[in-house]
Amino acid sequence: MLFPTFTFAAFFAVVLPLSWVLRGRPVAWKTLILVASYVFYGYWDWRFLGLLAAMTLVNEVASVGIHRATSDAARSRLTAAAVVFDLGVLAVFKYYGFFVSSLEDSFGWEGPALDIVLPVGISFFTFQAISYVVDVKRGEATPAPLLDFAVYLSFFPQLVAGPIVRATEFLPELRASRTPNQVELGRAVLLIGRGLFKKVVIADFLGRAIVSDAFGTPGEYGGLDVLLGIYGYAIQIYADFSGYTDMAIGLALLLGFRFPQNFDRPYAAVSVQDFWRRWHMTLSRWLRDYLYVPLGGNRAGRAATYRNLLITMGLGGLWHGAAWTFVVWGLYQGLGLAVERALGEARGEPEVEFDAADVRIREIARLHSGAEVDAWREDPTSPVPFTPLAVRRLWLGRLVTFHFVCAGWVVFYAGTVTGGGLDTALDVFAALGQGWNQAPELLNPLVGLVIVGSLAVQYVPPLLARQLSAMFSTVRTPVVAVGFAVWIMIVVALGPEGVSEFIYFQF
Amino acid sequence: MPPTPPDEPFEPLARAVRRRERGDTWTDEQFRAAREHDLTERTQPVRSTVLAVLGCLVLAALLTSGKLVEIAERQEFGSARDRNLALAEGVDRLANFLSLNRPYDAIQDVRDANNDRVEVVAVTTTTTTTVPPTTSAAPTDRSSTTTTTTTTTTLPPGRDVSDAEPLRVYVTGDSQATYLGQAVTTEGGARALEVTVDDRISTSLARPDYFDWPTRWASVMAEDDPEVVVVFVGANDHQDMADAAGDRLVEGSPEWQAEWQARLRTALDVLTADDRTVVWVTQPPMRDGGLDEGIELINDLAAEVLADRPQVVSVDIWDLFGGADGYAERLAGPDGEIITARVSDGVHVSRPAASWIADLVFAELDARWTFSP
Repeated sequence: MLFPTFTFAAFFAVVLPLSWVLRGRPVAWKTLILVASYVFYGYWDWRFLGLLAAMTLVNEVASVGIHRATSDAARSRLTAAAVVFDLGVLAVFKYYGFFVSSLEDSFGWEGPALDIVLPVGISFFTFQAISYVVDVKRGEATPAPLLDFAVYLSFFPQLVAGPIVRATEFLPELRASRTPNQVELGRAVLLIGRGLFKKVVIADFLGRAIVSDAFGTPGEYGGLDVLLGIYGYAIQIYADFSGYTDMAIGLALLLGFRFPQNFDRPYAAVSVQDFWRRWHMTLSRWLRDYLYVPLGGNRAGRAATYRNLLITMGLGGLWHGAAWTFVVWGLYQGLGLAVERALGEARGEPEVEFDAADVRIREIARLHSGAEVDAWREDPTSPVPFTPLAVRRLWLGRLVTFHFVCAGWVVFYAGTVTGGGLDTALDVFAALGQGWNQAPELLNPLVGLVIVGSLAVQYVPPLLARQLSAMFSTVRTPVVAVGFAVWIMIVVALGPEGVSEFIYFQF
Repeated sequence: MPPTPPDEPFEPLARAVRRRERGDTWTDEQFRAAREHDLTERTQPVRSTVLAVLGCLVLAALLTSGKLVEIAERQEFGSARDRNLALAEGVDRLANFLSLNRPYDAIQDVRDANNDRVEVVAVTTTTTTTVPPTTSAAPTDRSSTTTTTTTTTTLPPGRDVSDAEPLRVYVTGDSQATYLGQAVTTEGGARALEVTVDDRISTSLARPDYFDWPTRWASVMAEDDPEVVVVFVGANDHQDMADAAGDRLVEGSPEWQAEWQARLRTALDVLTADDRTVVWVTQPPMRDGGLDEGIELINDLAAEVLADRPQVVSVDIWDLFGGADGYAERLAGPDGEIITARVSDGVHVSRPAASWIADLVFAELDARWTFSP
C-alpha cells in the first residue's frame, strides 16, 4: 500500500478516528495500531507478516534475556546472537543472490539458486530491531512489553522506508497518554502536502522528462543534456525519498507521534560531512552510533579514523542495495569524508560538535574559529558577520559538495539497474564529456524551472520555514481541510497515470 | 517572570530584528520570547483534526472523482473492480451534480491537449501482405530445451542503409520494452539506425480501455512511418478482458483466446501495412507459476497468429531464458558468461538481458538489410 494512493487514503480514514477513539485505552489502542500496521504491510505480500512477527519475537526474547542476564559476557553473547539473527535474515532475504553471484563470478562456485523475493522495508525494520537490542545491552533502554515492541517495529507510517526511529525515541511516545488537544494539524498537513508534491509531481516528472533518457541512452545526448540529467536525478531521488519521509512524519503526527527529521536541505551542504548530517539523517545517525563508534570512531588515531569511515560508508552503501556498485558508491562517500577530514586537519579547522539541526552554526563552523562558534551559540539571534572571503568559501564548498554528491548519484543509479554494473555509470560519465556544442534536446522551460526551483528551495532559511509553518498552524481548521483537498486535487491532476514505486523501497 | 512581548498575535522575527536594530528598548529576554512565539506550532483538538482529515478526504474524492473512476476501470475484471467502479461512479455522479470535478477535468483537458501530439487515426483491420516469405520454419516447439532462437520467417533483402538514410526503427511495448529500446538505441554499432522508443508501463492488448495500442500504433505508423517495428508486449495480458459487447471473458477460456488472437491480428494489420517489417519478441518465463502459465499460453497464441504473417519475424526468447526448465534469474549469456538476466520482480528482463535480445533483433535486421558505412 503506497501512501499517495486512494487505497491508503481509505485505510487512513478508518485508522485515524479509531486511533483517537481508543486513545484512553492503551492496550486496545496499541492493538489497533499493530493490526493496522500488519494490514498495511500484508497488503504488499501477506507471506512476509510471518517474517515481521518472527523478527519481533526473537528480538523481544533476546532483549529480555539481555536485561536479565547477570554478567556482561552473557549480555554480550545474547546481543551478538540477536544481531547475527537480524543480519542473517537480512543476508538471506536481501543478499543471498548477491553473495551467490559474487562467488560464482569470482570463483566459479555455483550455489543453489533460490528465488527469494525481497520483503519491502526489511532494511529499515532490521536496523530498528538491532538498535533496540543494542540499546538494551548498553543500558540505554529497558525491554518494552511485547505489544509495545511489536508496535515499534511495525508502525506503518515508517515501516517500509523510515525514518529509522530509535526505540528510546519511540517507546516513550507510545507510553505517553495521547493529549486530545495537542495535534499538530498544521504541521502535519504541510508535511504530507509537501511530500505528496515532491513524490508524485516532482520526482515522477523529472524521472520521465529527463532522467530516463539521459541515463538510459546517454550516448545519444550531448554533455549538457547528460549534466542536466544528473542534476535531475539528484533532485528526483531527493524528492522521492524525502517526499516519502515527509509524508511518514506527517501521518505519524496526526496519530500523535513526533518523528525525528530525516532531511534538512541536503543540497545546501557545504561539505560531505555536512551532506551526511542533512541526508537521510536517521540512517547517518544509526551508522554513527551502531557501526562507526563501535569500530572505534575517531578515537584510535588518524589512520584508524579513515579506515572506520571507509568501512562505515562502504557497509552503508551495501545497505542501500545488494550490488557491488552500491559498495563502490559507499566507499566513494567514505573517501570523500576521509579526504575532507584530512584537509581540515591540515588547515587546522576546529572540530566542533553541534546540533544537526542548527544550520547556521554548522556553516559558521566551517569558516570560523571555535571561539567564534561559541560566541554565536551564546546569542544565536545575532547576525553572522560573513566576510566576502567567508562567503566565497561557503559557496565554493556548496558547489563542490553538490557536484561531488551528483557524481556519486551516477554510480548509485547504476546500482539500481539490475545487472548494469559500473559500466552504466561509466557510460554516463563518458557521455558527459562529449557533444557540448550540440543544442540540448532534453532541456525545456519546465524541466529547467523544476531543476532550478528545486535547488533554490534548498536555500530557504530554516528559520523562515519554521515561521511559515507556525503561521500556517494558526489557520482555521475548515480552511486547512478545504485547502488540503484542493492541493490533493492539484497533485493528482499533475501526477502521472500511476504512482511509480519509491526508489528507496527496494532497499 | 520573563517580560511579555508586545500584544501582537504574530510578530515576525524579521520585524523584531529590525525593531532591535532601530534601538528599541527590548531586552534580550523579550526578544527571545517573541522569537519563541513566532516559532511555536499551534495545536488543534482531536475532534476538529479528525473531522478536518475526513472532510478533506471526502472533498478530495469529489474533486478527483474522474481519477477515481479511471483507477477503478483499470483494475482487473472481477467483483472487486465491479464494487469499486460502482462506488467511484457514485462519487463521480455526486461530484458532477455539484460541479466539483470541473477543475480537475479542466486541468486534464489541458494536459491531454499537450500530450496528444500524434494525430490519432482510425484503426483498420485490412490485412496487407505484400512481402512473401522466402522460407518458413515450423512454429516454436515449447517443450524443446534447446537454447537457440527460432525465427518463423526470413524476409527478402531490404534496401541499402547508410548514415545518410538510416533505417527507421520503432521499439514499442509495455515496460519490458524500456531496456530493450535503450539497448537497440545504443548498441547498434555501425548500423545506421534511427530508433524511436515508445514504452508504456502496465499496458497490454487485453485492456484497450487502459491503453489502446492499435490506435496508438496506427497514429505512429501514419506520422513516423518506421520501416521496422520491434514489439515486446504481453506480460500484462494475463488477465480477463471484455469483448466488444462488454461481456467478461475469463482468461484462458476459448473465447478469451480467440479474442486475444483477434486483437493481435488487428494490431499486426496496423503494423505491417506499407510493407513494414515487424519483429515480435516473445515473453520469457516468469517466476510466479500462475503468471508463467499465462505467459506461455500467450506465446503459443501469438505463435499461431505469427505463423500466417510473412512480414513478422519472431525473436523467441522463451528457451533462452529458461524455457522448459523454468524461470532463471541468472543464466549463461551469449558469450557463455553468467549474467543476471532478470530484475528482482521476477517479470522484467534486466539491462544485460535486453542487450542480448537486442543482438537477436540486430541479427534479424542484418539478415534483411545491408548496412553500409
